[in-house]
Amino acid sequence: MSKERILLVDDDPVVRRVLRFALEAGGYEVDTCADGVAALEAIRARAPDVLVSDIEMPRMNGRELCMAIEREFPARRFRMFVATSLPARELREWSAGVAGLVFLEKPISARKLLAEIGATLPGKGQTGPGEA
Amino acid sequence: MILASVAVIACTVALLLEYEQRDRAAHLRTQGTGLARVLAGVPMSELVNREHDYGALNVLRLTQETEEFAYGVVTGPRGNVLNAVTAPGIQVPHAALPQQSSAWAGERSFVNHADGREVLEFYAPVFEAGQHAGTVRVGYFAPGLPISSAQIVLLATIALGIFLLTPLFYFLLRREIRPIHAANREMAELIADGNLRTFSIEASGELRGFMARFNQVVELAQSRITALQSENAELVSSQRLVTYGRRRVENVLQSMPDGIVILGQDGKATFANDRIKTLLGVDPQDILGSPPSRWCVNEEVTRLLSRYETNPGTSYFADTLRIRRSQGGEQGGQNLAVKVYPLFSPQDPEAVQGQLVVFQNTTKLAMAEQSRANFVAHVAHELKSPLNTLGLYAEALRGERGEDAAFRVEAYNVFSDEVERLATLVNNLLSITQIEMGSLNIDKQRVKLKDLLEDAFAQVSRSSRAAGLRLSASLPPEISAVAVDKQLMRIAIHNLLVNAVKYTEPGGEVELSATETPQAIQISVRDTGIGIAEQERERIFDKFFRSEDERVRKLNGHGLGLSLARDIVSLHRGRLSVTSEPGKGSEFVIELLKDQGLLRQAI
Repeated sequence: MSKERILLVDDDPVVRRVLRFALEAGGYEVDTCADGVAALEAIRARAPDVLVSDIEMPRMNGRELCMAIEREFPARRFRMFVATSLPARELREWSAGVAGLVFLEKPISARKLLAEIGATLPGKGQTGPGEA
Repeated sequence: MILASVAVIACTVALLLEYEQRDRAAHLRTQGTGLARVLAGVPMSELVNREHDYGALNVLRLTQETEEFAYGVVTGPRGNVLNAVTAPGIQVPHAALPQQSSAWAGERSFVNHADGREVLEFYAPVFEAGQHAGTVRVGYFAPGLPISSAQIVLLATIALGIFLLTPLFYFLLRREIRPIHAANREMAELIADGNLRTFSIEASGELRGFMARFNQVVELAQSRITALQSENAELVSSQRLVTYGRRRVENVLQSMPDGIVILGQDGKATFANDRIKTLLGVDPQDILGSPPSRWCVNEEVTRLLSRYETNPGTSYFADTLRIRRSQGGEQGGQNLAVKVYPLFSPQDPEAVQGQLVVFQNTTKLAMAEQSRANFVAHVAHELKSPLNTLGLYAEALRGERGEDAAFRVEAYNVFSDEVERLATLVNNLLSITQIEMGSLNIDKQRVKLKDLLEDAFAQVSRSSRAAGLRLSASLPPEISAVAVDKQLMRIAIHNLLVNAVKYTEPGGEVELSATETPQAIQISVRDTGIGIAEQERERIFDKFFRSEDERVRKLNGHGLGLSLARDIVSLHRGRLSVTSEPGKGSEFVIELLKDQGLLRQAI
């Protein structure tokens, strides 16, 4: 049984690096992109099982990425976790029409993120942290 | 005058003659009656004696030889003439005497047939031995116009007197009425000029009193007029003051940056300033006297204002409504705040006279608010991103990777970088806030500007971003020492250099240079970076401003660096300017006046 694939989108290479370690350690296969445009292309090529994205990014930010995914893949199955430092009120304005969207407030914890991802995946291909 | 005097003379003469005639008639009557009675007392024998020269009638004729005497007759009881004496040419009229004894004495008149003269006859009975023996009749001519030479002299004297008196009277009269004439003439002049004044006319008697009182009346009128004039002048000046005050208030209202409409008690517009035109798109003249429902283009505002048509409102608080008025598409829209304040009567603070409606263009305010909200979001992001990184690494260190020495080194480096990043952000925020609040004391000291520039340049050169760029500093061997706040000026120059490095693609150039003139020192930071679009060139110094340019968006920034640099340069009475060409590069120049220049400017 293949591992669930997580698409990680963040413009900060340091964050991409450390989060990738954590998620891989959680038993997932991790692909990374530096902005929304690259992420959208990756999704078109192959839809992930989970999307984890930052909001503030150049070219296409997290909000625009979510909207584009909602438009382009209305029948998608994957959940979207978006890490944000914005106050919640700002997010409600645009997130209402996007299905399967979960906000993560920064600073995020890799442990909590893994727990949430695990809880939402029906297949539960969860393996022990040591497996990576 | 002559005619009048002749008439007066004629009247006088006529009156005199009339009086004379009556006088003589009365005299004649007395004489005649008396004579008749005297003769009646004479014995009959004497009366009828014609022979004797001393007969009674002869005596009568001799004594009465005047022009008036006509005749003297003695008749018998049956009227027969017994004796008679007559004036020449006089026929004694035969006339029967009355028979009654009571009428035996009396008088009567005849007309003498010969010359038509009137004759007055007086008669009396003669008694002898108690018997009526006869009648004595004495006739006189009635007195005619008695113009004698003496009388003519008298009349002439009187006439002369009148003649002489008339001019005298006339002269006196003239003298009396001269002041009246003068007064009359002056009054005519006065009416013609319309200028009230007293008369200085010499007069006497009644006229003098009259003139005095007249002058008093004039003085009274004059003082009343003066009082009225001063009252009027006061009124005019106070009215001018009121007009001036009103104009000034209206000018103030016109100059207000906000649109102002004043609604009367009936909710109709009584005043509107010109700003209404740009804010509401209606001509202020057109809305006067009509209710808001007629001119207000926005439904919400109409609903708000129409409330006051029926209810003047008693709230002490302003009603506020915020609307967005679209005008030629999304970009052309305006944000309007409509505030309604009750206008209380100056006499009765409980009574509401109307409403003051203020239309504020809050577009800029909304932009500023938006900008501030964006800034807060941005600061949150800037603060939380390092925290996020720190948290993730900390978490990772606790796990298996914490065992890996290489990862630990990596983590320590990340911690150090992120802490530095946070510290810079917090310092920038604090500096800008302090400068804005005016609480930052600038600590000016004579600083070797060259050292300061070299330090800042070296610091920026060390950053990783600067690696791909060609950095150069062309500084003169000596720069005069200037009085600046070292810390602040360093931030300003640092920010300019950081920006130049940040917005220049790898392979580009960044040059720091300085030039000195007798008055000023110019510090220039030039790059061959992306440049600044013309429409953004003014706004880059605004706090929190971030370019719309994608190439800028993708880089971290707070929109604070240039704002801070400009504030710092301003604090030093300097000038920060920019020239730029999109795609070619930008140049920022700080111009600092040297001390003597500063001194001159201060003077």
